[in-house]
Order: sequence, then C-alpha cells, then structure tokens
Amino acid sequence: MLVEFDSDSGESPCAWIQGYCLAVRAGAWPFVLDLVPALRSVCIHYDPLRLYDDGWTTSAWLAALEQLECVPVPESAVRRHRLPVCYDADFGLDLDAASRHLGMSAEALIEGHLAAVYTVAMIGFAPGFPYLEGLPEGLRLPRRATPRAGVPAGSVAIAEDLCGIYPVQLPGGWHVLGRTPVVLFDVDRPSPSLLQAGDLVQFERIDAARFAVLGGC
Amino acid sequence: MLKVLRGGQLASVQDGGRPGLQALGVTPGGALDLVALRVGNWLVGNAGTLAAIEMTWAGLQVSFTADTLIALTGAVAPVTCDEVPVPFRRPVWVRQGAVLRMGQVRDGARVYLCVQGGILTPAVLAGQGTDLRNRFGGHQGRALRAGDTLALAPQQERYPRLRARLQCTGAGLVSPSWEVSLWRDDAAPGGTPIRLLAGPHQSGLGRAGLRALHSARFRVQPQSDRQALRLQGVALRAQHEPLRSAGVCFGVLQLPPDGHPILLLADHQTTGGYPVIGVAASVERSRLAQLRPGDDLSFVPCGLEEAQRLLREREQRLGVMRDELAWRIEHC
Repeated sequence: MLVEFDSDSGESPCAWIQGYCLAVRAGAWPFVLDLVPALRSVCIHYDPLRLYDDGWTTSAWLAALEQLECVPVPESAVRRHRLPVCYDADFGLDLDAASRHLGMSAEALIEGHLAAVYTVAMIGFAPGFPYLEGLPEGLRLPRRATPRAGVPAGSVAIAEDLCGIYPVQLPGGWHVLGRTPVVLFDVDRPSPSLLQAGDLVQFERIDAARFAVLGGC
Repeated sequence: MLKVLRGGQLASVQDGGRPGLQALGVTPGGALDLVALRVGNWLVGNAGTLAAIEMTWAGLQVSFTADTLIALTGAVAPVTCDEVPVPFRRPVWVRQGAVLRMGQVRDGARVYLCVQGGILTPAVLAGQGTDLRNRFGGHQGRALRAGDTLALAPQQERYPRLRARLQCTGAGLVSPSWEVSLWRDDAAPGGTPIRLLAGPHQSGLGRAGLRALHSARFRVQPQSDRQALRLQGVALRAQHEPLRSAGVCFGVLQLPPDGHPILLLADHQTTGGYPVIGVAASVERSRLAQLRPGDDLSFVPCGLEEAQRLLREREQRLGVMRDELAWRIEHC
C-alpha cells in the first residue's frame, strides 16, 4: 500500500510523513509488517492473511487509514547528528569537476555544503544509505553522465536536490565531495543504521589526520 | 553437520526473510519460493520458515556427518544419493556419509533442501538467511562452496518406522511410498498468465499500452537473479509526473526508461524510482520464483479482493497439508 504526499509548495513533507508513520504505528495493527517512509510517500507493507484473520477487510482498513489523525513531528522530537567529513582531494573525487560545473571554487562548494542542515528524508538503495534533503539551491546539478562502478564506503555525494552517503562501496552516479569515517550501518549494532528517516544531519569538516584517528579508510 | 562438497551454480542458506527492517534499507529477502520452503520444513517436522538451502539450477553436492532427515521441494531436478534417485516432496532419511548430488533442474529454477531442525546459521538482524548483495547472514554472507560446513540440530526420531528401516537395511536412504501432491498452483510456471494488480502508475500506459501489457508475452532474460526478473517483450511507455523514489515490494512490476519491465523478487532494494505499472498477486510468488531465463510469461488483470481470496484459499489447502504431515511424522 502506497500513501503519497502532495508537495505543491515545494516544501518537504518529511515532518508530515514522519507524523503519519507515528499515527500508523499507534494504530498497532499486528498485520502491518513494515513502514517505509520515502521522499513523498509512505509504503505500508501488510500481511493480507493476518488482516483477514484479525477480522478486517482491506476496504475497512483503508477507510481507517484515511481517517488517521496526523500532525507533523515537532522539531524538538527529532534526533540530530554531526557527521565529520574530510574534503581532501583523495576523498572528494568529484569536488573539482562539480565546482567547475557549478561555476564556483571548490572551497565555496565545500562551504555551501557545510552550511546547510539536512533532513534524512528516507533510507533506501542500500542498508543505511540516507537520502538527505536540504541541499542549497546553488549546489544542485544532475547526476554524473557515467556512473562509477564502485563509489568508496563513506563517500558523501550530491545529485539534483539531494545529498547521500554511501555506507559501503556501491555503484553510483552521484558527485562525491568528501568522505566520512563514521560507520553508517553495522549489523552487529543494536540499532544497525546510524540514521533514520526524520533525523537532522550537519556536516563538520575534518582533515586527513583526524579522519585517520576516527578510523576512516 | 552438513558438509558442502560442491557449491554448484548458486546455493545459499535462506529462511522466511527479515521483514520489518525496510525503513533501514534492509531487503526482506527470504526463500524465493516460500511455499516450497514451508512444505519442505513441514515434511521434516519443522516450523515453516526454518533455514534451508536454496539451490539454483544445478551442481550442489553435500553429505551429512550423521543420519539426517531431509526433504527436497520446489523445482524438480535429478538428485541422487550414492547413485540412487532421491524422491521429491517426501521425507527422506539419509545415512551418515552418503553423498547427495544435484543434477540440472528439469522444471522450474530453484530446489529447496530442508533438514530436520533447520540449518543453524547464526541469526543476523533476526534472520538466518543470506543477504547475498549486502553480504551478511546465512553462511558468512555468501553462496555456499566446497569445504563449507553447516551446523545442524541433533536429529530426533521422526517417522519412527522409516528410521527403523534405515537402521536395519544397508541402504543409503529410505523414504515412504507416499508424497505430498504438487502444491504449486497451475503447475507449469509459464502456463497460465500471472495475475497482476494495477500499479500506481499504470494509467500512464494509456489504453493501448495497457492492452499490450495484458496481451504480450514476455521472456525472462539471463540477467535475472534473486533481486528481479528482467523481462523482454513489447517495449512499453508510461507517461507520468517526475517520480521520487518510494517503497516497493515483492511482485512490483517496474518500467525503466528502456521500456522493458522489471519484476521485483525477494532481494529487491527497499525503494525504487521507476514507474510501477503493476503488482503481481502474492499468490503468484512461488510461480515467479520458479521462472528461469528463457521462460515466457504473460499477465492477466486481477482485483485486490480476488487476489486476497485466492491467497486465503491456498493457505487453507496448505493448512490441511501441514496438519496431515504433523500426524504422519509420528506414525509413519
């Protein structure tokens, strides 16, 4: 089941989407298997057999979903993260090309990237891969014409109006600006993904020495 | 213990999957043919979704370090145990040291080897199956290969008469004369059309496109894997507003810009950005799981109510089978 959210004003509906997820969870329907918030939608995975066994019909449940009271999640309830990023040339593989494309210096691109506060709109593509909204207008550019076969783990990259971070080495066509030593996803942690949809993220510049101290590679 | 002597084409440990973690980008995974996994597990006295080996196409060879109760389900392949054919869809007691060899599947794509007590791989994110793409879970997060050993539970005296026969004959395996009937609805995977619910972007196909979707034959392409079936038939076009990535599920039929649809299977990414022109009914999961490159398939429209009714009806039939097997396990 896919619930879509309008965005006529161009504003991100992220807070509404998080609020909607809370409301669905509060419904405590045991047949709901998974809730996947995304940029403009929530995907509700459910077990139709269990729904039926619980005495529901799909149309009755749909009506209940439509009547859910939902409010945007307040900022005070949001988790905040500061993620260290090293923008050195070894890591910022596309820093020069991207800044040339944008008609600014690499330093101006880094400053613009550092200045923004980002919202994790969704996790997708790979375990722990965050889609961050909030990239300043002036830093938006299309994906690379030729995707890389392997973008290194920890790469912080931008494309269109989004910023993303590669949890592990993956193929990808986003412009890599730098790299974080922070491990985004680890199956052995009680909460395997560092980030969750709705979280706020700010980047913090570090040098290569600090990157190494923090365990980066 | 189970020893892998040859890994074959692609064999991996799979269970019921990891539902509930898709918001973190973790694919639900699990055995592609869930009905085959469940029936195989019931045949050896397990709960339905314990971990088993999913074998694709051909080549796996294994042996056991103790007498072991197994069942083979799913696609039909020539499997021998010390040169003697091993029957499918029956409980089979296999003697310690006997070697099980799997030949090339004749019908379908994936065979399940279920073992009493399940395959005891460590739980990762609450699942014992292998996430092959993200390389965790199952046996070291990868496909099985020669030299691997998998832990099994101590074997209990299920099917006591059968077990006694293994002990008093010198045979490498014993199995009963009965088998469970074919549970795959519409046996041949390419036979009747796959029931397809409307997807959120189906109207973008237009009337002619929709007709083409429901009348064309599509062929499964060689790049298909546990993640998706890549189809080729008539090229389709969907008009749509610019899309943002959204959650997807097993059975989602996506239409990338080249016009050749992709039907998502268990190892799908949790989100996708292509238009969704249809969703295969859940009851079709096993048939989709057993399609292989070169097979043809077509689609027929199906409403949500009908799809759910068919699923319930099949679940009732499976429930009868499960109860019957629970009795046999103590008495045969």
